Amino acid sequence: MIRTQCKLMFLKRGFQISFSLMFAFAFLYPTFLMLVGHMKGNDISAVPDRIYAYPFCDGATASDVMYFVLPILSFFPFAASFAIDRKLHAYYPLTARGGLRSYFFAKAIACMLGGFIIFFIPLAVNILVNHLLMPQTMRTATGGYMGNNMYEQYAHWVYNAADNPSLQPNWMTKFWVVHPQLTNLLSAALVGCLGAVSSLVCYTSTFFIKKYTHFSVFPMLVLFTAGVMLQGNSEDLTMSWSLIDYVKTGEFCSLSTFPFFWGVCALLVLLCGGILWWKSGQDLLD
Amino acid sequence: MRKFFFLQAIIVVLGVVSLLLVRNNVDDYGILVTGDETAVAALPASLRFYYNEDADARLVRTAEEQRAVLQKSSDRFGHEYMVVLAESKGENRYASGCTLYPMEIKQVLEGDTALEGQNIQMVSEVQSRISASSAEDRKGKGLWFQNTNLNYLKKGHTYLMAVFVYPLPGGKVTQYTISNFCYDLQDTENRLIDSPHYVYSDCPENEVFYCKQETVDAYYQAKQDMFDYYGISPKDVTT
Repeated sequence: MIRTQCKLMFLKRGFQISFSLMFAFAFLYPTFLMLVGHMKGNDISAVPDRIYAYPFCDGATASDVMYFVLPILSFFPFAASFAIDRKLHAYYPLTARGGLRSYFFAKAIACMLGGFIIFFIPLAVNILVNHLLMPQTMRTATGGYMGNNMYEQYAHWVYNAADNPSLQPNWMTKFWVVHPQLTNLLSAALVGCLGAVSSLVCYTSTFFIKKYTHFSVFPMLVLFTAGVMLQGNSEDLTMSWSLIDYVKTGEFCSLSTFPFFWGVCALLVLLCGGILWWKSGQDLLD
Repeated sequence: MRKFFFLQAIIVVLGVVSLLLVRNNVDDYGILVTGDETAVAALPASLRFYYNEDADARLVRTAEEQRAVLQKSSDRFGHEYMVVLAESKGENRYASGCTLYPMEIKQVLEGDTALEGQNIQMVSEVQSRISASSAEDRKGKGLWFQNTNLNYLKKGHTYLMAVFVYPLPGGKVTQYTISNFCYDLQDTENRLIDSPHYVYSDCPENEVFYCKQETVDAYYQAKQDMFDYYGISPKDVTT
């Protein structure tokens, strides 16, 4: 059943379009940064470093709109599939053999897989492309334009915390400074996870939003927006209410409230699982 | 599905080609500057200071700390570094991200001695603070000498400085970045910036801009320690 649903998901135009959009974005974003940097100053130092050309880098312009884009994109792969099946009464043959429960959960897994893939693979490609083709100008999220400044302004703090004892670096921050691209890859995986959860929530919402299924993006949109609003302009580097902050390179390195992120994700997955379990015991002829 | 993969292949090809085209364009410009020299000269008179007493103390590092930072930076990130005595030839140039200083390397104390006697254009991010803040100044926000609190390098002055050697991608350009420390061997003034009303023209000869006398003293102590470490007598070098 899972394999069937996954195959269906890969064939869906929604998945293909959202994947293509993210994939094109993976190439367009570094191109855009180089063009803008080039126009600004004809100066290589005006072009962000290859580390910074990752869209979920802390401080990157693209990361500021992702709280809005992520739930919308994660809806497209497969979240509306049950709503369509229900409309076409296409789920009868599929549930005849395996039952409604395995049908629902197989769809949920396919949905999460789709949500993960549309973000993780394009972002991983983006990191690879940045690494191969972007200049190493050292104008990074860690500050500064030139050569040694990354170390000067940031790594010095990391390895000599005496400068600012209130900001004790954790192991993740050290890892980020030494292996920035691997940290970006980890961030891509986290974005994928968030996309998967978002996709699952959208899918579960379609059980309640029957007429205008596109509105099922709203629960995640509201959750993300509420997080961003609660966080506001807080300068507290150690905690955040915004789920998006936990997937941004740089931000998640300094956050000590990671259990909050995983807790919310786990809660959402459990809640959706519970709803699916409950719905699978109900008569769907409505 | 075949159409989907075909579409992805097109995206990859177009993406790589456009990136390569833009990248080549950027590379051609290297680290050349856009501003002109008069822009730099015109800036300082109107620049005002904000001062931050809390930031003062931690900005000054001892000689030991500075050498340790230099070594660690080199170890961690694989940048070679040099410690040199170099004379500023003036005609500093102004870029969007940095200032370029034509310098003559008089003596290499650590690093590649083949560069001795050569004229090299050195990059300093230090002054980008001025350029960044000057844009703000035109909006009335004023200037904040942040982090480094250092002045421009003066024409004809010799400096003891740490320089990071940083080959830019492509191997065409090697960037020399003034880093960590840059001490003027000439006697320098140091008027304290003890109120926010100073403008640059009040204290253009300052080597550093600090608010407290003890910070200035700490700076000069670190400077002297560094001279002692490298066995430099400023008067012998400058006369």
